[in-house]
Amino acid sequence: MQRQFYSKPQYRTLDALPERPHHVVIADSIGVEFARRLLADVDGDCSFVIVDEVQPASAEDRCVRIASSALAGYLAARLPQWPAGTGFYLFGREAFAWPVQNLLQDLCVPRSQCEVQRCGPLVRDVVCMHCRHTNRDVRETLVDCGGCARVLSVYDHFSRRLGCYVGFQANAECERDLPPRALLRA
Amino acid sequence: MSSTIDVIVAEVRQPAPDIRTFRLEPCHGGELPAFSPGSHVVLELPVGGRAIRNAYSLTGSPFDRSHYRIAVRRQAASRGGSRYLHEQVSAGQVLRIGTPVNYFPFEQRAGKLLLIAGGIGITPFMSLVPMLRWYSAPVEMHYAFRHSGEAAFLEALRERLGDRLRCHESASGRRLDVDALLAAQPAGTQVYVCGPQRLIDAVCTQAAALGWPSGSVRFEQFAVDSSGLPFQVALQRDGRTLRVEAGESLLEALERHGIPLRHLCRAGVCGECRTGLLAGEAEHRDLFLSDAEKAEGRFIMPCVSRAGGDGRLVLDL
Repeated sequence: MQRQFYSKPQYRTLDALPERPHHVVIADSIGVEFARRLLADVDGDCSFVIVDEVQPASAEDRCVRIASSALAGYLAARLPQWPAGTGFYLFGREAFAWPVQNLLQDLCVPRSQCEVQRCGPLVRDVVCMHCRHTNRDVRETLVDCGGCARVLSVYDHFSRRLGCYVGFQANAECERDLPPRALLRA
Repeated sequence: MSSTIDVIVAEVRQPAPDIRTFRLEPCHGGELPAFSPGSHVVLELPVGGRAIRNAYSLTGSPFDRSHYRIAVRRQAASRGGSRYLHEQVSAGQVLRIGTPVNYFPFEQRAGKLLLIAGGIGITPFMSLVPMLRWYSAPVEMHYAFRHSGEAAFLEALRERLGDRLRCHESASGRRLDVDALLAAQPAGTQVYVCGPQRLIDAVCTQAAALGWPSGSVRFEQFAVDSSGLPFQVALQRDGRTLRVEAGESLLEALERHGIPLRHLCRAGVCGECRTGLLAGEAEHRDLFLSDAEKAEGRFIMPCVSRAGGDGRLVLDL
């Protein structure tokens, strides 16, 4: 059988790992319902953080709602209170989840302790490798860059550091002869 | 040893009944090679008509390259290296050492540094202490020993670390409770442990039970177990068959017969001496090969591993 090689994350439905002493679930507004499904199966200690620009700064049982701008400070303050071995489960759009994963790594949480489940429609954030502009919610294989107006080919190559796919000038040797636009696949 | 340096023993001290410290200076002046915290050097010691090579952690400050310091505990059951250093080495004597090697580096990016030492396993941490001011993470050191009178560097550590040092004196009933210690650590903690094998095993087992990622625990084996029965080793390309004595490593037997083999750590860690195993069952004692590779049996680490089974190996040498 031919081996498969991937340059983009391979997602699966997340389950809480029973060996973790504590579970921290972080979701954006799109990932909340998916996160609740995981939380329903958690027996042990857990913390639920909803990053929500609409309803920030409210709290309910086992749940904290904060704005994205407050997330870094919140995690830095809470991390010393969570035990080593804590599992982190991130639910939401790729453009949300991967920057949160990078934030956790900056706070010295090993990558192996963090898992990501992409939620929501199959859209991509695409960073233009010519002007560095990030084009949001791209649905097709070509996108007109909002930064430099080039027509970009959207590559199946995901940058975890940027939390984006990469885009280059389509058919760079003959820019007027562009391939047809098609819907992106998973 | 890949590169050697001749050093003169400038000073010998005995801070505890079974521990001697040695200050080693370059024979021809100048500075010794730089090293990072956690490094060790291999000493070449002429014992019983053959050269024994033992690794010792550097215990001095990495900032001072005018000399190295090592501390040696006299081991009752040893191949003679520690006894030689205790009984036959004095100030003014010349020793041959390898350049510093580090298989126990300390991570600068950690949420917290938890340092656990058992007995003479304190030595690799000593070169870290002068550099802790450059570590932003909180540091906590746990030092376990039988009697405070036998514990090396205790006063220096108390002075430099203050309340960041926690001592566990088993003779006073204050044993180190590894399970409770690890269970109380915050996320992002990086653990470093050095000491007896049972201490390392206890830390690794408890960390795994608590769901910590394997990379969160780093350890340095304090002593290499070279005990075991004699065995035969046949060298396929060379054509000779050698006998490896009890208490002698396979690497030492090869060296005794003038068969050079690339090596560095002599502790089953670095992988430098990995050798093809053509036949025979090995008793793997190294930390380099994966469990799958050990089960496959295609390679052996001659610095620590021996023959199992019928006591005969065939090597690709």
